[in-house]
Amino acid sequence: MRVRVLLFGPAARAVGATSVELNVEALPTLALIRSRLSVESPALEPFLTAGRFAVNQRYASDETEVAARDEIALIAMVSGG
Amino acid sequence: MIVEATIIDGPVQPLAALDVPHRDEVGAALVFDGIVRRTENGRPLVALDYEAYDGMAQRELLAVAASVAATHRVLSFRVWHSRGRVPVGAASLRVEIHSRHRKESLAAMDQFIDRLKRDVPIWKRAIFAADEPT
Repeated sequence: MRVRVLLFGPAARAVGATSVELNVEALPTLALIRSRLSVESPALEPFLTAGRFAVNQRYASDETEVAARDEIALIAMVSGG
Repeated sequence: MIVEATIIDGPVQPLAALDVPHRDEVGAALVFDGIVRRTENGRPLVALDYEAYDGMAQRELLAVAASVAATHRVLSFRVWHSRGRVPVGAASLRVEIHSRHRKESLAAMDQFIDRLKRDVPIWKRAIFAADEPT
């Protein structure tokens, strides 16, 4: 299945896009998505190391399995305030 | 550094209107403004541009505020955070806390700002004077 990961801030600027897409097997975990992104989008490596994923706008652990309709976002190096 | 201490006759001017349901219990009102500084790493700034993960940023900001407010048992907790461009000298964050005693407000303010900077999906980007079209 195809998954799309939303990007923001410096991560988005690093790849020049507000999202990246991956082809993965059904119901991937966020851990798998993290490792696949580090290979397929090396520019995201610094953001993947310390970043967290959100699924449907809530923080989720790497053990979380995601479905095709889930909204996935990489939240890294936030700088509010 | 400016340090001033003044003894005045009568009440001090109120910092914020206390026309709130809990006004009879308020012993402390604390307001924090986060202001865009004039320089960043020694370079002149024009503004900061804030990007928010809409929806999640709103929810997380409220969740952090609610959690901190409950932990410190304050009477009220209000926060405003900017999105988009905020020029030098303007505030991009305001937090207003009311509590019975000063310790709750001071502790809540410190904890909230730490958690905001760690958890809320908002990003700022510096806009430097040298990068602006002349």
